[in-house]
Amino acid sequence: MGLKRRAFLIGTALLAAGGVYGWRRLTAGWGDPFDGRLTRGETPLTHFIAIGDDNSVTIVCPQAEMGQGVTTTLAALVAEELDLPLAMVTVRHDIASGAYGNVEILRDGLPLATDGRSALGTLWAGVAETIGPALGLQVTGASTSVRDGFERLRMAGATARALLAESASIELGVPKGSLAFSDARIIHQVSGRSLTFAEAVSRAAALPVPSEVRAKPREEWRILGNPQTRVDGRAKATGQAVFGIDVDLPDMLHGTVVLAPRAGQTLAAQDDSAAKTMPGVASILRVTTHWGDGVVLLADTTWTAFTAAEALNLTWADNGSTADDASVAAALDAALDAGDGWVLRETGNAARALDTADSRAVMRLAYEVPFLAHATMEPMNATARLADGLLDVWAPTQAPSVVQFACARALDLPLASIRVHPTLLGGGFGRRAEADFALIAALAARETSGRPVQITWSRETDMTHDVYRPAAKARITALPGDDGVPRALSIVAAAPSPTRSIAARLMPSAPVAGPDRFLAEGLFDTPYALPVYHSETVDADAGVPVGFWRSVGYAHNTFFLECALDEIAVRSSADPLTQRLALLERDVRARGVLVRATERAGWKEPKEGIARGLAFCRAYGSDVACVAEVSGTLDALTIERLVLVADVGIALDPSLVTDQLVSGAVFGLGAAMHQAVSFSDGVPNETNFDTFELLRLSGCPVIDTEVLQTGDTPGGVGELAVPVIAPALANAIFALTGERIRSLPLIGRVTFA
Amino acid sequence: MALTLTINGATRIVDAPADMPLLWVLRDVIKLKGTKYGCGIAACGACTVLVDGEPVRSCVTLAGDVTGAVTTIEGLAEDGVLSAVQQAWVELNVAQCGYCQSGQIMAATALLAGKPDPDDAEVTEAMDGNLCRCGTYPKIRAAIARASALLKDAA
Repeated sequence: MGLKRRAFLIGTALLAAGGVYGWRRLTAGWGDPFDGRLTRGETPLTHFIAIGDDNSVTIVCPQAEMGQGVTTTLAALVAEELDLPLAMVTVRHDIASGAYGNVEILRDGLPLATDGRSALGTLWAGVAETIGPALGLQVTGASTSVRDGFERLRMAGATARALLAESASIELGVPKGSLAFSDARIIHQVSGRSLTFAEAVSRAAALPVPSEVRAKPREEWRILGNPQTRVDGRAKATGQAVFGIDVDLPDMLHGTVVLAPRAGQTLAAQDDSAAKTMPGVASILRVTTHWGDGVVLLADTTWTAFTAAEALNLTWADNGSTADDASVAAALDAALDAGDGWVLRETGNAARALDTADSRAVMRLAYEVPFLAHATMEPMNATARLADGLLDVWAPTQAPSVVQFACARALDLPLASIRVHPTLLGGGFGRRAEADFALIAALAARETSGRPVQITWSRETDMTHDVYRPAAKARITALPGDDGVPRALSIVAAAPSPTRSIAARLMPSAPVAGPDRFLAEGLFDTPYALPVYHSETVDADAGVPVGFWRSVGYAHNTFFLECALDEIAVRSSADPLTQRLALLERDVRARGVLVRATERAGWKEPKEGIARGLAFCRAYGSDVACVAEVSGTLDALTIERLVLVADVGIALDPSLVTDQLVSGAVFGLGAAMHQAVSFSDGVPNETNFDTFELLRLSGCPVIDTEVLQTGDTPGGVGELAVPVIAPALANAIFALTGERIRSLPLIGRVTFA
Repeated sequence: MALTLTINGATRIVDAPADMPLLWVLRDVIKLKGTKYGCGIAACGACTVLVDGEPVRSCVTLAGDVTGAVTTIEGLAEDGVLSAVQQAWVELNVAQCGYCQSGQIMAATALLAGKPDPDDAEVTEAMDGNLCRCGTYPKIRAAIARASALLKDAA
């Protein structure tokens, strides 16, 4: 049995377990995640819910809260089942356990439409082999946090409700059917007698767990489907929210790290005589990281550590990456020239159709995008303590399981000796699915005899030691046809593979084989019914560490595909909307977002001085369409408005869904307009927000949104809007000026008013 | 070295070098963690605090140079009652990840103290130095309008 097959079976087993809910069975092998973590006389009912003797109801949110509002929505799922006001639910975010493995992310990552092994499947299988027989991958990514929680938290709530009802029924001597739930009480409506959850919970916890429970049908929802006040809003408005950087332990040392300027570079000589004697400096340590060597400075305050870092005199060896913009472009071109990539979708014979067509009719387009930094507002950091053989790591992490795995390998500790305490995240966007920041803290903690250490990266270290969004180039060949439907289309894209780059950091000894879906997504899985279509992706190692960046492959591939379609429409004198509708003839949902977005934008009603561009994307189980409106000239361009319509199946909280659409749009807009990370002799040139510009309030246009709900499960939304912004804008700029922009950021060709 | 600072109405004698930025005195010495480190070069606004009511980037303000009264995010609510700006922020669900929001709220507080009813251009000018990677800008605008209304109601 191949590795991919094996990994798939692991995934399927977990999926099946999610359907009929048996929490004790699922937690078997992981221990009780609540063990040693209960407060207020709590009794757990399922591994997601604990009832306190003060009648408090606490839920565990196993997903990273990085702004998407997952704590609020997961609490709402439980509140709905227990008929509780949302405000009565407390959310814990600090428990990591394999029992909380993300089922949805496996569903997304493993099955890939190919005969070959998938790179991600191989990586997961390798991790699983090392971790143990079951794969408890607690990871937040791929817009799965609500999708993963949807069944599990509702079922946890329904299970808790069934147990509490059974307990109250015995205690009050009345049938279960005569009981109602209200404000954490179970009420016998006829007699008015009642029990609090706290009074019913001990008996409830001793009852056999029902083998099957039914969650409330959607028609009976009172909380779900309605906008809620965020459960973390008050803490975040009063400075009380605890991010990784805010963790404060008794006797803790504050530190920072200086990492090699080039990826893979080693330290030849270290003169720390000046730094060592600075007041407040405790110690200076050498660490080895995926980026090369590093020097950790530990001190009384973070500022002292930053200052001491400036006083280091380090001589770096003449090794490591020498990537620069020309070498990156050459590596991508060479990969495209070599071909031999992964073909994940082949409909008809595009090569023959394009080779035999009249060459004057064939369009040959070259597109490209740069490396990008994540630039989370909270710089990378983590806190660690190694005492009595037990490693505790407090980290703003999207992937507690990955942190645990990486620390176990690096410190040669059994997994059971590592506890990860997730904190709130000051932005994630994929950067915090890495383990490097936690690993550096753990390595430093090894040298402090049990004293906790907090390692905070400077912004400059953060930005110049990222795992970047891959730079990518595409060669697109098309034969236009009627209505803008290409008679043949070939897209070959080259980029460094994020999955292989991640694998090299996590398990350097076990290179992963197979196609990386993250390079191909947006191209191979597009719902467009392209009659003759060749989608191919080629791995190109450009000497730059790359990783997952909000919307990953969709970000650049949607730019390639949606701009190419626009070019084809223009060449065929077709309307870009008519063209897309023709390509989606049988796809009611996709047509729905396109029709609604263009209606809202007034697509068919020309407006003086305004030009519009269109883009569409299906990703994460959702559909999105964007109309961008621009005015002015290339020398003074104004983005007037973005209209975004998404179909997310079910919006469990329409307000949070809208917030994520706007958030993704702003993220995509900043990247499209301004952002790039360039390299000189292996060193990133952009070091802080003065050179890597984020969108500001003044640059934020009107963003008009509408959320459609035509499904029966929630689709992902955290990354959904990012990919459509750049192509909608580039297409609008062409409509306005006749200037076709095929590389990002736009700032190279456009001046914004 | 002993520095005397007035923080959220209380006088504090702090053992820190005069050339340590106020940000790090607040965070690592006094342990008020609500004020955030973002860039260290006054380019993002996450570290914004008020000194005598004026918004200041605490990451580039040396503690020894501070003579006025410092207000941090922890000093806005009184006896658990949120300020109008904080209340508007909670009502409108402004914060996403929330990391930049202490700075946003301090900048908005300073704006409304000087201009209780700011127009769009005045909001842009006052808030443009505060970056938000989650893209809460439209809600920040709306929340400032809401806070302005709340302040009017209270007056």
